[in-house]
Amino acid sequence: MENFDNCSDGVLLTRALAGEEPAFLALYQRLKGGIFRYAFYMTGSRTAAEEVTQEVFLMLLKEGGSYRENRGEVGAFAFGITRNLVRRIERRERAYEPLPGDDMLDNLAGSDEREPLAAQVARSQVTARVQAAIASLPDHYRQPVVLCDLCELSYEEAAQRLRCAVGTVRSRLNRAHHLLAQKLETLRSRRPDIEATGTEGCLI
Amino acid sequence: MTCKELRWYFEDHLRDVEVRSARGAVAEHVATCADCAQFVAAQRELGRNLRHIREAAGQVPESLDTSVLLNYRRQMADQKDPRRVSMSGKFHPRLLWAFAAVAAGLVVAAGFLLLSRHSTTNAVVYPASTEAKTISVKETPRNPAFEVQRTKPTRAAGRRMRPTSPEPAPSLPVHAVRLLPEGFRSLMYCDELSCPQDMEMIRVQLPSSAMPRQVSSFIQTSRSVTADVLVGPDGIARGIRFEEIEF
Repeated sequence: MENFDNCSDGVLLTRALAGEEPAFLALYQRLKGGIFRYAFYMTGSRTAAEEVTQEVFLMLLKEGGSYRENRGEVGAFAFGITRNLVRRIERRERAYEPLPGDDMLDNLAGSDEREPLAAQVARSQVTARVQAAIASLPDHYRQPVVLCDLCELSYEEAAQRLRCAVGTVRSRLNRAHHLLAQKLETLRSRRPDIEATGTEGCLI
Repeated sequence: MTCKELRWYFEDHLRDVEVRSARGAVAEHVATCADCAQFVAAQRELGRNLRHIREAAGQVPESLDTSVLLNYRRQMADQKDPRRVSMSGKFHPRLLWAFAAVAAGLVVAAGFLLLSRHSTTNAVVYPASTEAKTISVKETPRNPAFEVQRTKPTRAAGRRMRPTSPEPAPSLPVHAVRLLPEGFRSLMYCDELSCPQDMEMIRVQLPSSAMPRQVSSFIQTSRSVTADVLVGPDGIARGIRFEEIEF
């Protein structure tokens, strides 16, 4: 099998559009993680993240001919598509209220089996609240948090994706951290629904 | 390390805050400053929670890999098959413009056609069927008053005009009414159109009750009346002349 390690994303895209399946698979392996995680962190739903990822690569195949390498990386091009799709899903889902507990069960399905169930549930609740806190941030603060803190991009990469200066990303991220810390302080003062006290705690 | 330096420090090292905050200058400053200790604790909790969220994403499911690969193969198959491309592929922008131009031309042509038909109808004095009946008139020459005046629609006629009151239809010329022979009273409107051919005269005997009211009052005592009736080719009586009154 051909090794594509030395090929740039642009070359892989060109060859994939020409019908080379191995090139497409190599490009998919490079981009899928970032796209899926970004969609998941932005929507909070694995189903929506899968839908977005699938749609992004379909769009790449359809609109890939309009990509110009001098304008930026394929990753940034794909990120633009992803962000538009996520916004579309957010607009679509805004009218619906998710059923309580669905996300928690999803998270539990992928959790560590060695950890006690009560601890998993408690952690899942906290995670859900932090996710809700992130989701409640204004979009220009939420994007740097998702890109830098969750998708683990560098400031430069995040600035390239968001098409703004690195200093802007840093200042927005700093402000977002302050806001999140305030929200988490408020959350900490509340008692969680299920304490991580083991089976006895649940029975009492 | 000052409080300000510590906050600057955390801007860049939030991800590995637990490792770094526990050592070195940060640890020394936190031990002496309560506010910064609280700040570091909040940052530590935030970093921990963000790490939990990062882990919650998990791996990309294999079913997604399969779906994306199937999509790719389908897309490539569509590109190789020109018929499928024409149905499923997107239109070229130039083609879209061409379609838009053709559609606009059709709309304009349809509009002109409708307006021209409308203006032709207005210019005709009588409907076209009138011309056929006029031709069948035998005895009299063609009357120019009945001719359909076909005029070409002009640009002014094609323009949308403010609706005005319709022009009054031209009154029928006097000579168009067919004259009955002398002494006959008209029973029905008769002109060259309704009585195109020669009429037949029939002598009939009528009861006095069939007489017109003004005549019957004059001849109240009479029993019957002899009259000549002009009957058209359609069998309809057009005129009548009273000949003899029997008392």
